[in-house]
Amino acid sequence: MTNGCGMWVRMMGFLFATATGLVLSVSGVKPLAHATAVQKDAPSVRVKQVKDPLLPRGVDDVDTGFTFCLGCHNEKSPIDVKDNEFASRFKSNEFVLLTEGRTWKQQDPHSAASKVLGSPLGLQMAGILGYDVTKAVQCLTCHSIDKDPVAPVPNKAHDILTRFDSSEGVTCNACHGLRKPWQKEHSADKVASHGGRTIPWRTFSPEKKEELGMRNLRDPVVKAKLCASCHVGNPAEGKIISHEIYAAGHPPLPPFELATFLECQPKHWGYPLNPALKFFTDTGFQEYAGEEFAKAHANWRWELYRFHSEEQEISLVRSLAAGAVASLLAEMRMIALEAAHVVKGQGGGVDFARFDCYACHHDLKSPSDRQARGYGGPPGRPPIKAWVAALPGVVVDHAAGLKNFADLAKEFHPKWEAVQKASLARPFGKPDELEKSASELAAWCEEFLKKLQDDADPIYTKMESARLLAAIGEAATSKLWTADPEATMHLTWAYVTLRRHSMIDIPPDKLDALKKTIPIQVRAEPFTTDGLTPRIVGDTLRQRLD
Amino acid sequence: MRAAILAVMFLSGLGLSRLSSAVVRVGTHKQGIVGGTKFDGYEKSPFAQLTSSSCAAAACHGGGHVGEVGSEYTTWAPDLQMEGPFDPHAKAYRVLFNAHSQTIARALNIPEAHKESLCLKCHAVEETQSGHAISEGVGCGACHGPAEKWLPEHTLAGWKSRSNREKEELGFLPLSNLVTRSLTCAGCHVGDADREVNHDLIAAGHPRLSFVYTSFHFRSDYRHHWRERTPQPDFEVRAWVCGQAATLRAATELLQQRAERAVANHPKAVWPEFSGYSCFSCHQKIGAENLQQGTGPAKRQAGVLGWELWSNTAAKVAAEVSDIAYPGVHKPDLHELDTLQKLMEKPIPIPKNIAVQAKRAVAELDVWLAELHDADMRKGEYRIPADAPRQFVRELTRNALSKDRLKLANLDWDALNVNFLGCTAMYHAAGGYRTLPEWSAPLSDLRVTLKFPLGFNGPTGFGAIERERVRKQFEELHKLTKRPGETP
Repeated sequence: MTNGCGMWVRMMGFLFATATGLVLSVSGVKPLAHATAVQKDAPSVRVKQVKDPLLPRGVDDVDTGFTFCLGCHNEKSPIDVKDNEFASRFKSNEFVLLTEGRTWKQQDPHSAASKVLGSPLGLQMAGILGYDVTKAVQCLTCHSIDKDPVAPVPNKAHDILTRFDSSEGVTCNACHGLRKPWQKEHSADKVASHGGRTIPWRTFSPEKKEELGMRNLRDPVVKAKLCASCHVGNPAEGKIISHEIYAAGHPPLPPFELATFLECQPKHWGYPLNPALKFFTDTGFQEYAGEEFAKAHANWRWELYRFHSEEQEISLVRSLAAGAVASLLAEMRMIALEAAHVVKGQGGGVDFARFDCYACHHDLKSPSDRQARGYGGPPGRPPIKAWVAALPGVVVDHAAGLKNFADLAKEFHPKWEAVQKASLARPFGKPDELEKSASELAAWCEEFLKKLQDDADPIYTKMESARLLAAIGEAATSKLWTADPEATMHLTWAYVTLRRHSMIDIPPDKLDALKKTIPIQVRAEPFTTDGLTPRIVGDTLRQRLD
Repeated sequence: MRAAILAVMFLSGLGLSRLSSAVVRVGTHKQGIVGGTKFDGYEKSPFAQLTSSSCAAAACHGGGHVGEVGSEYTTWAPDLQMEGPFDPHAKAYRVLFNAHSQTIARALNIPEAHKESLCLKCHAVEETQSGHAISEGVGCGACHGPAEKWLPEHTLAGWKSRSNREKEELGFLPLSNLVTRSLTCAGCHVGDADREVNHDLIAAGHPRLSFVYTSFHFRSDYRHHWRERTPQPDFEVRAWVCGQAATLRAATELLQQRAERAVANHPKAVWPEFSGYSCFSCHQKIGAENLQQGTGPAKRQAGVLGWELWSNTAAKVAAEVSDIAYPGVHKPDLHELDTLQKLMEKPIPIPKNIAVQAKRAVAELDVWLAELHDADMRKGEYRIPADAPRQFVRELTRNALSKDRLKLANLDWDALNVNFLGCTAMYHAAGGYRTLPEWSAPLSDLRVTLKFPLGFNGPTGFGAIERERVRKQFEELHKLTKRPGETP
């Protein structure tokens, strides 16, 4: 285990006390008592350390087995309830698709996340990095479910039902929650305790579900933060992609645009839009929960499931807004923590991976477009990744016209400019200024997300969504971002996804022309290869990004 | 006088890089004294610069016959002979007016490049007392030393019998010494405490600096106003060694200055300074097939930039073969330099440590340079072995390849190119095609493969196939330079 720790130390280059603490506790078997020590040792930074409240409370509290879920969620297609006693009793087919496991296993690249570690590229990376990437905790933390500080890595041997099995990739519970209680509870037959009608799970509040360990992924903000923790980063869980890992061959992480990533996923979730899921209609809900309960919870859609009917609000747009700000938050947290590390005199610097890849990785041409364009600051200083602020900028400018958000929205641009200024003050930024400005922007993001999460009223009505769509389109083609390929791609993704979702067709010739310069989606169907294994996104995306 | 100029510039607050270099200048003039030997090319003279036209009298150096003794000024001055090759130094000032210079100035917020001290320091003889003489570009005094004192003296009969030491005291730089000469060149072509081309300037459009003395000396369009007395191969072999040592010293000292500036936390300090790294450490394509993992002893951590690969890759070979170029010179001990390189090849090096270590490395290089300097003073007394070029190429190709020669030691273009340029110097020193026709094909192929594509300032498209081609040619040269009877 000490090996694992040493590996980690070598890999990160700049370690955060928190991350070290995390690994120490991974290696030290001691359960969560360590979490507090981690906090104490943490650098005195302004950025908030976010501990996942859903982490298991001990070895016995963990359940990660995918096979366990397959018991119910492995149907080939929507089922005939006549064949399924459980489903016919509880109408579970009206609440969930029941095909989730199969979809995930055959089409969802998350299920291949740890397999890719053993691919030729993975082997090449291992050779360069000098450690086994299929076992290294810094890889498994995103490529599998190995973020849990409770169990030491080697103990996560394959145990089909309960134990960690890193080779399964990013499994159901990696996202939905690693703890046992909810997994038992959500399918428990408690007919007797619930007026003889059905299992009570579906009428639990999100808070109660979370208490039992289930992540409420129906909440756009919860979902956005979770996705961003791997797709952007989360130092508190050791999820940091470093330039060393990139240089060893890791494909560039593409800009993370939640709505687009959701739309490019083979969906194993039933958007409430799916007419087969009758539970989510007023009559369906009333029938299930009882007239009295339904009456007492008139706003049940939002209260229990955090969405509004599509007539009131386009759910995907709230996800888009949450995803944009959550990505920015994740990036700012990483920057702030790395900068704090330097400020504390622990050497190093903000990792190259936090900066715009293409500020350096470009051909040197003569005459040069960049020189003709001129520079924002002193020439030749890499700015931090600009895509993280491109979409939030549009979302915020739009939100400035909304009553609840107007004041908060005003603060965004000065805060972002402060981060940019600090990042250009010298190559790779001035650590003290970066720490301060990034922490402040992170705090702002938290506040914005909180508002977005708590606002029970529809925000992104059809009209507001259309306004936002137009603003995104304008930004994608504005001079501000056209010099930044990642920002343009990010905005374009958001735009194309929203238009498709709103059934506003883009003329095919326009789309074709667009495709020639920018990949317009993360991945497209078919999602599986002939052998019914998920298609790995990495290769194709890398080509696009090249 | 000079300090006064500095103070004024410092306070006037014009131009970013100039400011930072101005800070360096204050009180950091080098004492080029090592082991009691003073060798020149470092120290700034206290004397005043005179205009180049002071040298141009028909009876002195303006004889009017390009290329002949007594016509040095005529040969240098571009306007006197419009056709054919020219001395680029004479055009250094006027390039500041062209469109490209204007683009650079705009990006740096400089109103007029031809009035900007940052530019004039290298593009003219800034200290010339008569202001209009700046327009002469890099005139006589820039290299030969400020002529205030030595101008009258050097016309007298006794001048030639004076020692270099006496001449130096009058401000004259004895450039026939290859160490003095290459250090003088490196002052602009690499940089010194006063002058630097940093990454801000390069990003604004200034070409990067990539100095190799022998390549510059033998530029086909460079109209020399002097004649080398040392015959080949001795001249080019020694010039290559001294050039390597001087270039590396200048680069290391520049690093020291930059680190000290960063330690002092000067508001305009730039750290890390990218121009001290290989350009193509960063300016390369992204993707697994484009990784630049070295296999040599100095294998870097993945994703870390290669420090001064241009200056130090072949310089280490030059160190190894110093005693061939100058019998009796010790192979220098460069372990401080190795330590420096290790410290520099970290994600972001710590300036405090670098400042200390770079100083040590400079001192170490000075020991080497001092020996080379003294040896070069006596260069007329002996010839180098006739097969020195072969031995040098053997070492350079060994340096370029991994031990088993199946890989390149360093994939970086800078590293490959300086090894190649060293080989070409040796080829020409030995007589070129007439004596070594079999070296011609691999060298030509290396030149073609390493060349930038048209319209690019970098080896765009230089990938695995090109690298393999380069490796093969280095291997071929390595085989060709095997000593008869030597086992590979």
